Amino acid sequence: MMQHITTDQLIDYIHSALAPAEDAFVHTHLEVCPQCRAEYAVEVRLSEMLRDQAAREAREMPSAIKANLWQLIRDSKPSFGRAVRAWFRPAYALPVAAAIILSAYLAPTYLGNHAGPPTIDAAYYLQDHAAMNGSVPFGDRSGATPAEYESGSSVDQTAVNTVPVVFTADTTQH
Amino acid sequence: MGAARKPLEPPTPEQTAFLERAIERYGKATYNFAFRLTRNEADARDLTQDAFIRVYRAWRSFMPGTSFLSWVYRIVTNLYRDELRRKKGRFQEEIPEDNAPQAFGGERPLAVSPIEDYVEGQLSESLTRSLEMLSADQRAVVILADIEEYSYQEISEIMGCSIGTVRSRLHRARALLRRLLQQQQRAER
Repeated sequence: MMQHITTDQLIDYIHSALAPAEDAFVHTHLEVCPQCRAEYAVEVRLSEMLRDQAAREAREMPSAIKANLWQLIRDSKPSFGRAVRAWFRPAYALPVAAAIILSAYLAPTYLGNHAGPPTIDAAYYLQDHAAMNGSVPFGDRSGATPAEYESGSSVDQTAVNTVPVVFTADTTQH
Repeated sequence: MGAARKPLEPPTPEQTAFLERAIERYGKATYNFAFRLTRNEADARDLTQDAFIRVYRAWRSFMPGTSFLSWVYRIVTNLYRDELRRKKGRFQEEIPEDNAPQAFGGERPLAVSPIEDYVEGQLSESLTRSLEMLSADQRAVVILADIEEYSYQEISEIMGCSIGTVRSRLHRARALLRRLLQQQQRAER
């Protein structure tokens, strides 16, 4: 007696869910068995009906769903945890950290020392500086290079006239 | 439905773009799936909205390269189950799971299809009624296998069950659909 295919096998066959050997068996059997072929046609028709029904019922998504969704999102509020975490995002955290570091650096200057920055008495500075330059042959006011000084061809006669007094005295002493 | 009860967090720009794209591309499919599952427009609207709220909340858990629609269908299916549990206290009565094939052997009568005797309108109405009489899980499997044309493997991932369970649910659901269609045909005669 010919072994017929079960309905379950037919359903799996329609959904391509049989192992290759079983699939081949069902395929071959359907070609020779009108009884199973009729059963197969019913199952195929049922699948078609379901798809047709779904196509007939298909509809667009109501726009109210989208509107409600965006409204819910617009009304959303951050939780406490998220609000705290937001402060640790680089966009916030980096400028805040920079401001703290800058404040820590500048605070002693502007808060701790009320006398202001150190100053030099202008009269003292001018006298002392002029006196030093007068006695230093290569100071910024001497105007003569060592070579010029040696050759006696300094362009700055003031320097030549004033400085050698010390030098002449020094050399003669040696 | 439940997903909207917990307040939402304000979106990031990426999150907004993700949701916008998801609704744009998959809103219609999701709504239709929800409608087929619930057989009711109001419930389908709530279910779709809750599903997209889940998408919005869990957008980072979506793995790029996988099927977005499968992910949304899984969300819809789970939400629908939760809702049924919440409404009824327990899930709709299930026919016991059994993977044993429903053999009819050589003695079965020649397949006499009630389907062919129906005109399209009557048929559609009968099918709608029959689908409503299936359990939620059976209906989901039929929709996913026959309408959405997913493989058993994909359905098992969407529904969070084994392939064997998918197989047996589909077999039973289709057998039940055929029986219900036949009964309605007899009743109308």
